[in-house]
Amino acid sequence: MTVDDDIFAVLEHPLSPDDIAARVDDPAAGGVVIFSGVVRNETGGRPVKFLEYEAHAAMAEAKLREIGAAIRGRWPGVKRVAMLHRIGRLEIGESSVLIAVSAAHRGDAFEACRYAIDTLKRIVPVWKKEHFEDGEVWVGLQGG
Amino acid sequence: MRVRVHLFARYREATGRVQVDLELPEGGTVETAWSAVVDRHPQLAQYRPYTLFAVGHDYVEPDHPLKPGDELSLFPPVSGGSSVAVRAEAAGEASP
Repeated sequence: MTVDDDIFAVLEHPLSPDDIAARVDDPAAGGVVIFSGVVRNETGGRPVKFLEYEAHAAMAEAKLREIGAAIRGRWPGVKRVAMLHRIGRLEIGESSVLIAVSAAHRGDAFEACRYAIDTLKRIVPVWKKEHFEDGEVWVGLQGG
Repeated sequence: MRVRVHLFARYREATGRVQVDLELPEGGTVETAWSAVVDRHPQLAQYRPYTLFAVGHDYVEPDHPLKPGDELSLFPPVSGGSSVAVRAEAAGEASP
């Protein structure tokens, strides 16, 4: 399996942890780590009603693929990688980001998954608009 | 030369536009394009120090030369104004 078999996508529909786990299924894997980023009900003590996500979708998918390639370079034990980002309106508790990594051993899977979400936050062009009871604010790259 | 500029999030809302087509002189850079966009939409001028730029799918510096047909994206400021750090990292962080 190579990065060409991995999955990187920006989607407008709800994300499923079961589905992404199936996408990284591999007989040589001894562990699968899944990270789900979910919409929190407050920011700095201010109640959030809902969020809107917007992306430069084509560039975002290209950057997700770069992250996947970097993971394969750094953790040879990684078997498969899947990274999905949802855009559009999301309610409290819904998943905005799902990342799944399968690896021969759990250490690589945990480390690679952590690297994936941290790097995504820095370089993938996605913005969210937080809607509060009394206003709204855009948060961007590295801001959330 | 013709260059298409894409606007996102706060910039899209501030201008009411998702894209702006520019006619720039040969040899124009990202900075030239930014100035042309601000001429039309002065409300963006305040964000210049925090803006990230991309051509195609790659982050670029303001002095990056543009070619005819380039697609330039203007990315809004991040919370806390940390875009300089983002720009420095964006070029190489995900390289294998």
